[in-house]
Amino acid sequence: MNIAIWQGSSSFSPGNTPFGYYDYDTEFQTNADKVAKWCALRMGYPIMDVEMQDKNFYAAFEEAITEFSTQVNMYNARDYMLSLVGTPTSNELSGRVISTNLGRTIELAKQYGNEAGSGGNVNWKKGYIDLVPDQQIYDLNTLWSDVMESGSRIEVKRVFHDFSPAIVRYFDPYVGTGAGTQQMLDSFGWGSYSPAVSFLVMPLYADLLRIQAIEMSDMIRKSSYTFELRNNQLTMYPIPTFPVKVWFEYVVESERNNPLKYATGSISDLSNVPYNRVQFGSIKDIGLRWINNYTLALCKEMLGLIRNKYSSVPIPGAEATLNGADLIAQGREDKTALLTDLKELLLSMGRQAQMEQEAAISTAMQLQLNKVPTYIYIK
Amino acid sequence: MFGSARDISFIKKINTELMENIIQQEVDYYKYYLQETKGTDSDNLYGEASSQKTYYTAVRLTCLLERGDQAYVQDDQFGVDVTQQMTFNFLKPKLREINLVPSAGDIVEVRGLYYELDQINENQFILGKDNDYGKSVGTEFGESLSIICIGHYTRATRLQITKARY
Repeated sequence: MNIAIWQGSSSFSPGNTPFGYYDYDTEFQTNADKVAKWCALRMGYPIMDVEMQDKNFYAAFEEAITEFSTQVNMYNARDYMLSLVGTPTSNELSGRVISTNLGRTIELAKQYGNEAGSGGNVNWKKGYIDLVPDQQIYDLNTLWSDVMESGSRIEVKRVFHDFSPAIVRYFDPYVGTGAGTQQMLDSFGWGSYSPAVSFLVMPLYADLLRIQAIEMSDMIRKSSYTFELRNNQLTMYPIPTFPVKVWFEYVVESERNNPLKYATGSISDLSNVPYNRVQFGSIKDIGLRWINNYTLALCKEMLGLIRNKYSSVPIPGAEATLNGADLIAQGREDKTALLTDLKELLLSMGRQAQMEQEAAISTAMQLQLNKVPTYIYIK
Repeated sequence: MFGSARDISFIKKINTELMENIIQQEVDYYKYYLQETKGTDSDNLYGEASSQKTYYTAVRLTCLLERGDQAYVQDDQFGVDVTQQMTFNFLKPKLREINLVPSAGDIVEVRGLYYELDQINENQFILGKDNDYGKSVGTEFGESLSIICIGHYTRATRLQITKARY
């Protein structure tokens, strides 16, 4: 068996790469052979043999493009994740400008709104129980959730059980009756006019003081209208003396606790963010240069692995030591350096970094402008 | 598994590159032509070919040379004589390509000097296996890598290969 090695040139055709991601991209087809030749030359050909085939170079080239694409996509996804979660996975995001929004931030805040009763995405439902004279304790499971919610656990948010509002027990101040106002009007000589209150503007604090007085009277002199809710047992105070409906608001716990509020087919995490591979033809100089260098690093590592299978090769009457280990080390070092550079570059181009940079520029510009002499106006 | 045909192909390429492109030690190999070699005269009792050896046309080969030092022998009757041992490490796959089987009596020329081969050793096998005798591992594994020939310096006048005197 004679396994061919690099002969100095190659001719790419579709199917020569392991995954075939870019095989039909004409830019890729053109570049594949050039990159293969360049890598071979960089590794010593034609002075030295390079024990690789064109397919090895193509595989490295394909991997380098894919790595570049993945890195760019990862940083995009990370930068825009908050805006992307929950949107349909059917969207194609590659090469698109993403408009950021507060949707996800508000979505995260909704859970607080749920509990505070000020919004949110869980329905607050209304229910009631019929109070029975002399019965103080009511089982909400039996009376409501078993009947109306198929036994689902409910959490009561609010119970409408209180005194009648003081205002309904306070004669309409605009009418001017019921508070001894008539005598006062009479004393002013306006009592015979109807409605006499038209001539009188009562201060607002007078109304507030009356209402507060009524409420305080209720609280101190009467039995308190309140309740206790412990483990679905609603205890009413005072003990009911007549039949009446008591309304309450509640949420169904299974609805509130349901983590799957989005329809299927929504972006959930990094795994299904619809950033697809970048088209090779759309990558410009910065990316191309990185891809070429990364291809070379991969080729060095690959050749090192080939040569390192037998670090010492027998030759007639002796042994020769190959440079596989050096090639592997150098290839991996180059790869690490290239990835670090790319990550740092991408990080510096993220939204946060860009805004920090803009702020720094703005501050620096302000400092510069402060040095510019300003006119002094003297009259 | 180590030592398969792919590995052997790789090792052969490394060897070829090393010997042909890097070290580049070349020798001319004269194969002894037995059929055309005759004795000095027809009534030679044992058919010895002391003075009429015939060789094939030389082929140029790469090999790794191991030079022994020249040894000078004092002969009381004829004066000082010189001898030298030379080891020629040939890559067997290359010999196989040209169908050359070294044997004792062949002549190798290096730097205008001729060495007659005395010993032919074939003991270097890739991973210890010879695919010509694969037995249970089959013919895909192993290969005989080298043929190491040891020769001694011989005078050109004895060989009739080249014109030694003018």
